[in-house]
Amino acid sequence: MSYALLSLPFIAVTIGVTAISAIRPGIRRRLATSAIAAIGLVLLTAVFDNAMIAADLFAYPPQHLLGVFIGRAPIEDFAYPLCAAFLVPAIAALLPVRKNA
Amino acid sequence: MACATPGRLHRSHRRDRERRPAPRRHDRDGRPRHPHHHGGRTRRGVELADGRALRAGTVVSTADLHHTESALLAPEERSYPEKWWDKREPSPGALLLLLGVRGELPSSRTTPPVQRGLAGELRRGLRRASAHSRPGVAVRLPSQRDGSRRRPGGGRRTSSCSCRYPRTPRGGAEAKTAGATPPSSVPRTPSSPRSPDGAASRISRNGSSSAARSPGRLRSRLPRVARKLARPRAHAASERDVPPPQPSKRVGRAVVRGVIRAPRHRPAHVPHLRELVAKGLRGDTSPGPLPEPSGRRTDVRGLYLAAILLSTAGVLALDLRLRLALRPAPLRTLAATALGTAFFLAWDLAGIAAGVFVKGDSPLWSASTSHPPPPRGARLPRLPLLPRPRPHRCRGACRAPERRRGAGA
Repeated sequence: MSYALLSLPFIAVTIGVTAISAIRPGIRRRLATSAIAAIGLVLLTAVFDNAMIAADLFAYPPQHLLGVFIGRAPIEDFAYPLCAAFLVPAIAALLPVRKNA
Repeated sequence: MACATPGRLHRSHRRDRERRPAPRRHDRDGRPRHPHHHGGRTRRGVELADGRALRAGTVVSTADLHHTESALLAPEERSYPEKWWDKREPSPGALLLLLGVRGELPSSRTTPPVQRGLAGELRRGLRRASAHSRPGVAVRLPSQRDGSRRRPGGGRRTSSCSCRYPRTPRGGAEAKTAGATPPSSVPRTPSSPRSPDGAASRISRNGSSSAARSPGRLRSRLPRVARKLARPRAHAASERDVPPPQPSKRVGRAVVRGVIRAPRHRPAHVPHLRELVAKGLRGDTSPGPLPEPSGRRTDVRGLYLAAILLSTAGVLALDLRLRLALRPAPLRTLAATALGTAFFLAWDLAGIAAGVFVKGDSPLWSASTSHPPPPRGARLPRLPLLPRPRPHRCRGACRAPERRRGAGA
């Protein structure tokens, strides 16, 4: 199974949860903030993913990859920061807020 | 680097010998003489049979002394008469050097696996060898295709020959050059004046009418010859008692032989030669022995885990100090973080199970393992081996949107 295929369900979950979080107020602002956070996270990923791969902490067998790399990091790896930036705030928005908060 | 097989050395340095008188190559104890003591004679390297000249400051034959003397050197250059050799028993000196290249010398039966292991290195080394290559060390095994060492009809008769096995083509001419070792050395070269015909006639004078069996067959019966010829008390126990062949098992690419349990049967080894060869193989031309490993290596195990924990602590400190998420809504923040962690953990586990993520062999891991990547569906590694706990890395930024929300609430 390729990395991209593996990532698909997780990206789908992220999109779904983010879409559902529209029922909570402030979705536009949340999406905008998530996008800014995503940019920062992607930049950090580009730096540290390369560092971690260069340190041989983990490796990606090339037969599973699309073949597009940012340095040493496969392009698929950047699904992580994107999902993180959108999914976690969406989850937080969907969780019930305590009355006294 | 200069390398040559016995047969190919035969034509070397005829010109030198015509010009100057031959020096003695070894002192009484059979040690090679210091290069300085060669009567001012200059050696420039080895001239191979195919005409190539390998230049070197020093050329050292690592074949055993007998082979070097009686097969490689001109008669007038020899230190010992034939009678002297008749009183000697062989010891596997040349073999020791070769075997020292890779690990220990469990028994003389290791010759074939060692040769197997060396073949790649040799081929690489020989490919690099050129007339002006850097001084280095090369070990050359006897050439199996060298026709000059093989005689038609050699066959069995050689086996009854009283000559020692080093004299056979087995001895090889391991010409080893280490030009940088003696800084002010007068270069020297073992010359090999003896033509194939001459060698043949001399051996037949000794009672064997044929010069050589094919190297392959000879190699296979070497251990037997060595055991038979070993005389009690002639050598140290480790040299004298050639242990019987032991079953070998393959571990990866290396062939591991059984352990010799008798304390007196420790395998012989030649540390300084081993170092020399090791240096040469890695292209180190500096004089002197191998450098000691420099101090203790810094232990970096767990550095990855430490970096993750440090990052988490930093995120936590920022969060608490700036009242980002954990203070305004502790339960919601913890729940969102836990769900996010579970999400990315599931992603990672799926990637590992699918073989998309492979744990590297970095020393930064807490538990450094060289295990192969877990096969599909394999039991998952324990916590320190978990790859990429990414949720830690993004928590701080993930909370950024929440802050405004929390502040607005």
